[in-house]
Amino acid sequence: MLSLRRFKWLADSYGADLQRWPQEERDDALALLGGSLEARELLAQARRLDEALEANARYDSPHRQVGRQAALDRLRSGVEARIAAAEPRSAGWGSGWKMEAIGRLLQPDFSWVGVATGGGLAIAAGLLIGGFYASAPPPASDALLSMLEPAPIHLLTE
Amino acid sequence: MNKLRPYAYADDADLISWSAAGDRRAFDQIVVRHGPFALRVASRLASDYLTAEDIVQEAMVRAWSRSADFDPRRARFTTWLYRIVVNLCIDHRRRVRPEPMPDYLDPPDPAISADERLVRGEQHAVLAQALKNLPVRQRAAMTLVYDEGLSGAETARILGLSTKAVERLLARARATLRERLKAESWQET
Repeated sequence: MLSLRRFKWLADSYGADLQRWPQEERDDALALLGGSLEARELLAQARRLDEALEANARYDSPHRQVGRQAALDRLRSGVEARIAAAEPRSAGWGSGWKMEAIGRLLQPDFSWVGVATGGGLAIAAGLLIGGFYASAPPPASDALLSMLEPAPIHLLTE
Repeated sequence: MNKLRPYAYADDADLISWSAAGDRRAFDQIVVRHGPFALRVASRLASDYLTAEDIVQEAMVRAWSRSADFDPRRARFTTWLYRIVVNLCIDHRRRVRPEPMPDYLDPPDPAISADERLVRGEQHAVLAQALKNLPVRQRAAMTLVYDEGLSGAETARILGLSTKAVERLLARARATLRERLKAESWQET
């Protein structure tokens, strides 16, 4: 049950429109209004100020509505410009396209594995062969010269 | 991939999550969605409309740069964003000196009846000025509850206060407004 004191507190705060009152107290407020002349008077007093506030809002709203869309457009472009100018994230890790690029790299796409493996094997084979020849002792200089000499006649006639 | 994101239908938590990954289109959708509310609230709390636009722009840029910090399990996105906006407005109002009272708040001409003044919009002027002169937290609470239709509990979360504290702010604000209007020959009863 709502006390008259609490009712006055709520009327002083939220005015005469019960829709503004805390939802859980509206039913009790209605019940009190039905049985209390004092509660009805409190609400009537609150309504006076409500009406003045509503009239003020009606008077004010056309002035505020002028250029409302233009104000929103200015806000959008201003925010966009400031974000672009600051660019702490867009120029760095937070940028949308860069994050997507990083995401793509991290995705489990293994189409590049075959090419990489083939290339790697070719390089490894090259290194192995190259290492084999590099590790063989160089031929002696006499043997090398003898290889360049013409073969003996008797060998050619055999 | 971003072209396929349903920005217009995405909920705030998704949009801010995409924003945290650098998706500017997602954040632009947040600006479109919540910019009008932010501009309305700031225009009531700031000294003038251009200042309000600057404040909201700053709030949005802060929301972008802190988007990775937003945790949907801890708060609704709107509460988080609106708190940034309202706190910037409060900071701004504390830095700015109050304006001198305008001439039309001099004692009213007794030759003109209260009804006539009402017709002329003087009551509006008195009330508008009285609202403007409220302490900024009271003004913020009045704006969120009365102009934007938020509940006391939602307003409390945005202002970082208890619901009871918000109710106290509202009650004080209304008492001040009643006194101001009474002084201008407006009779409450």
